[in-house]
Amino acid sequence: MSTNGAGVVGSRGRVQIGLVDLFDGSRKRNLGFMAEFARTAENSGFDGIWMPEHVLFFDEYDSVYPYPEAPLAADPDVKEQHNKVVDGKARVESAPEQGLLDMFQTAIEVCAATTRLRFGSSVLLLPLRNPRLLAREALTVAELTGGRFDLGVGLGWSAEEFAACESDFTVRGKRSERLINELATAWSGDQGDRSRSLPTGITPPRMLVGGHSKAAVRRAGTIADGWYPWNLTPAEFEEGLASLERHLATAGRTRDDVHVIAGFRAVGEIADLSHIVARYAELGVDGVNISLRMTEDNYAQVMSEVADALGLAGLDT
Amino acid sequence: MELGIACAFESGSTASLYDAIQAGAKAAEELGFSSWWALGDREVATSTSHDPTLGLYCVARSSQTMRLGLAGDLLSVRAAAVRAKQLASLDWFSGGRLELGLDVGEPPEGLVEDDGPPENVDSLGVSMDRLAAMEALWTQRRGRIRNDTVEFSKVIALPKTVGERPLPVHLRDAAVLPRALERRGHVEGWLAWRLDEHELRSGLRELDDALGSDATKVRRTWFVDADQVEASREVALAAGVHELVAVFEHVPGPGELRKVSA
Repeated sequence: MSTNGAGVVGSRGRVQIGLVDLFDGSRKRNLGFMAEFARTAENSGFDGIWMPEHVLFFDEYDSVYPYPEAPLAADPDVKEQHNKVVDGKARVESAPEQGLLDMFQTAIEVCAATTRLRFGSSVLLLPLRNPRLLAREALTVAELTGGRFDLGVGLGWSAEEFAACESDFTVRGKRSERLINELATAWSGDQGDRSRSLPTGITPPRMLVGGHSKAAVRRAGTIADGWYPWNLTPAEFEEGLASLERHLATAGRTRDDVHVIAGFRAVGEIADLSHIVARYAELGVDGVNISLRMTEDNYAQVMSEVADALGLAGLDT
Repeated sequence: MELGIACAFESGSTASLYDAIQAGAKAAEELGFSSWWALGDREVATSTSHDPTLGLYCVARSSQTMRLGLAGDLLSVRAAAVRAKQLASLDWFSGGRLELGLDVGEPPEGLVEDDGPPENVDSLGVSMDRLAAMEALWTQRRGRIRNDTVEFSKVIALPKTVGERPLPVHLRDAAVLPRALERRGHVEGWLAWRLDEHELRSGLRELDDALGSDATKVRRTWFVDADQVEASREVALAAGVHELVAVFEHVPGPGELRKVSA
């Protein structure tokens, strides 16, 4: 990996660096904050902002958060638990009064405040959506962001959330697969009357499958536009990538047909982030997304330090 | 009587959709229009129009005072919690200007999932169940609801609507008013969607029958094709319509808006 002021360059060329953070509609993270945060990220040389999704939160969960361990920045072959554990069950990182704004409206807001920054879902809970409505929504986001939206999709992990959202948690994998297929078909125009009643002339957003289960990698390789695993060590990532390439070959596709992003929750010192990013870059990622859990007070400083650590080509200010 | 706009979110010019909405919304406010409505899900489903909620978001971010409305939300085809967040977010982005028009009729085939509910589902019942769930999420610190369609307790749903208020609800079909009233107790408005004069008067009679003297408290909004606004003003005034809304098939430009407002 080189970081000579032109950003991160890996085995497949320049690696896009994204930030995973949230906009919650709170008084502190108001419209002014959203614009400043986005512009600071863009001016610091980052390529995108990605937002997680939960429709609802709970004070108590029986469901276990599946990604409590993240690779260390300085030594990415080692994972460290960063989430709180209660009664042996990992909890999702969230504030007591946690919320998140609607993904698509937030995407348009962030892209309107910037000129080249992309916005992505990290990840949208696909099984909770009606695909007939989502097909149009996603095309509209693509149009209103000038093609700067990436649709990361996932299965979700909270049975409580699914029950409250009227969706059968036990069939979410099969349902996701059907919905990915249905979206791809609707956007391909190969669907008779229904496709003719969607907005026309718009390139649909890139659809990336989140997670690293065998099924997730298969869906990414056979029907989606990319793969977006979370909190993998380089060895785990490499194994997933090999599997992805096998599925791509089976589907008659190549690695150039998909966009691969490695995402992780940063654990360790900012100065060490170059180590873990370099490992992913050498393995051939197209992008790396980093969750830094920045505050309203420190985000500009943190972004600046991360940009320095990764040699991003930001604006001189 | 107030004057409003409703439109399909398609750019009617060479401008991008975002720029067209921005120009239209600013002009509409300068010309004194009171509201901007997105078409209902039913109309959008069979068109190449963009998503009504996201189009309305752009109107919200390009205006300051106009009321913003969805002219026919089909709650029977979407999960209550998902829709509650979308609408609470839109209300947040608009500073509390959102109003909800409900279409409780049977949804069009194009919006029902392949593994969707069986035929003969009570669309009105499902819609009112989901509205109750959405209102619980908007108004309760820890949301709780239990009805035939939705069940949850102790949920954290943020953001909430501005002021943690239930959104004003306008029902689109006067004939179902008695059943809707049984469920919610009241509605804030009636949307007379592209009715002719005879249908308008018939709907008003249904309002009177269902509400008696309280019918006057229900806001009456009459949607007519943009080129019919002038011809409809007198009838609207005589019928006690509170707002006459000009319906466009695309995002209207300043020139088209000036014509309607003249």
